[in-house]
Amino acid sequence: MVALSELNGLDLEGFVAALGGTFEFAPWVAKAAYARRPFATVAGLHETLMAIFRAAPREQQLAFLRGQTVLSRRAMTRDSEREHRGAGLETLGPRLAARYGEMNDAYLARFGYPFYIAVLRYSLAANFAELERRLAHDADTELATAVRELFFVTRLRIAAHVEGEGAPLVNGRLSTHVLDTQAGRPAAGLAIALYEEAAGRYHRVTTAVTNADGRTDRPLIGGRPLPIGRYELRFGVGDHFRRRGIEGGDPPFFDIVPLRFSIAEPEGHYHVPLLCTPWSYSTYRGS
Amino acid sequence: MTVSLADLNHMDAAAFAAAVGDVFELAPWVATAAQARRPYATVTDLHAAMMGAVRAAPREQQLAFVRNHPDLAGKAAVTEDSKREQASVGLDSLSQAELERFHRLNDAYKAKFGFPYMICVRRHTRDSILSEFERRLARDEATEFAQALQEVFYITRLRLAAKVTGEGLPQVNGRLSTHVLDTHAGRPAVGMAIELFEYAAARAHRIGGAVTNGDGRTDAPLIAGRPLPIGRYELRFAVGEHFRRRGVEAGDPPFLDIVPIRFAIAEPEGHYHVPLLCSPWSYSTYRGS
Repeated sequence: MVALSELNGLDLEGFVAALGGTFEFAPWVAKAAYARRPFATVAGLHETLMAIFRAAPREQQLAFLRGQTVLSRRAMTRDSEREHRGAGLETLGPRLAARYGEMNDAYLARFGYPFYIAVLRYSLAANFAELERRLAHDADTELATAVRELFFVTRLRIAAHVEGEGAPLVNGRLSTHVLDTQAGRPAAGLAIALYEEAAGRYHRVTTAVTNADGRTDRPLIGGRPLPIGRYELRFGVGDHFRRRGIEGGDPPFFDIVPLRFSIAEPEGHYHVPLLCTPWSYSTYRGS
Repeated sequence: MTVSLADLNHMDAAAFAAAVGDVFELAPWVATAAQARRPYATVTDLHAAMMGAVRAAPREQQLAFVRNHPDLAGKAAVTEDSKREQASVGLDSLSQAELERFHRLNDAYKAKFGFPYMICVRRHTRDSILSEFERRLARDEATEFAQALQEVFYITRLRLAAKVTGEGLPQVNGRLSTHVLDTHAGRPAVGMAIELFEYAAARAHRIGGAVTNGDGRTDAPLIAGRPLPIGRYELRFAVGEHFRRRGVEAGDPPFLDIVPIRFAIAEPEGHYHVPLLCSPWSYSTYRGS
């Protein structure tokens, strides 16, 4: 971690070294940014770096992209490794991994550079879908798309490495809240599980139990971008009312209540609450 | 072959027994007793009289009657009615492992109570037949014999309702219905695809589907004209597709796509109305009427 004020005071060599990991193997971006010091905000620093990249000749942009790692293969740098682990690509089964590899090869053959994506912003399923969708792009659209992904990747890296005024918003938050509208109180001690969809199946991501306020002590996802994808929250509503001794049918009308929803804004706040009685419930995207 | 209650009220013992004698499996004495008490004002009264004969019979006769019933999923369903009823929940097409589980439960049950497991299969799903089996196996003999007679009540009430026409038919059927309101438009959601799934062994099996009409309802109930099998269900509503067609922005991918409502049915003769009120960003459901 380096302070923005400190960055602003470094010499060229120190400045390029401090930002070297942001644009992998492209010290020319940091070199050009050096002349534009001082930066008032971290976001402003990032915007300048991206503006330099966007202003570079197309050939130079393409050369940068050609130097990037193919996602399904071994990562070249520490940052890339960490980001790839976040996407869970290494947990692919052999069949899907093979298909993903084939699509990567097809992409490389079509555009001349590897598939570039801000892996932390996508679920595994959404990453697949993006690769499939982008394979159909024309060269100009795809270059613009790859540069947009570069924007997200480098913004995350800058936010992780540089502290100071005006940090860019790079993290999202998924939260919930359970109200027992039969009792007119928060539902305390209710079990919640979060699942992420991949290839038509739901995989458990995390579990929590509501506290006295009907909330979870920590967000279900926080401190990182929310991966674009499909999710399901499962609430142990039947157990909650059984514990309270409320009659809800045998078997109870509602037992595990599933809420299936999608996340489309990785930097957004998704608040997905549940208002429930033994015979009814409602949900909404709240704030 | 149906028979009217008015005709039954005028039949002699032989004709009466021929018409409704097989409602109580291999127990013509039930019809004989009921014939003596003619006339009946309602079909429900007739059924109550027949059940009254069973309940008034000596314990040994009751036991013999219950023992005459076939094992569930056993090799020999004794009568056509039994065969048809067991086939209706797929008890005639169990896997080898399921069959073995049934045989194990049947043996344990008969060893403990001395009579076969009685359950009105048309009021149950495969899952609830098995879970009830295990639950009832843990009971004491008196409670379980009372439950066996209660199941006889349900089984024979269904058979009688199918055979006899006339006043005061017992309520033997339930109804599952839905209704979709688009609360973003303030109108019924028209043309929305709905699917109904039943859970069996933790997996959802599709058992029906419909598309909402101009009123946001389905033209026919999702289940009707029969008891609602006790069990777990899931309705799936194609909410994302509905708002996509209406051109309403809801995120990419849309916040809500297929909305699943998972619920259980516990009252086979009840009306379960499970509506969905939805916008692109919210929904609610409840057991309505």
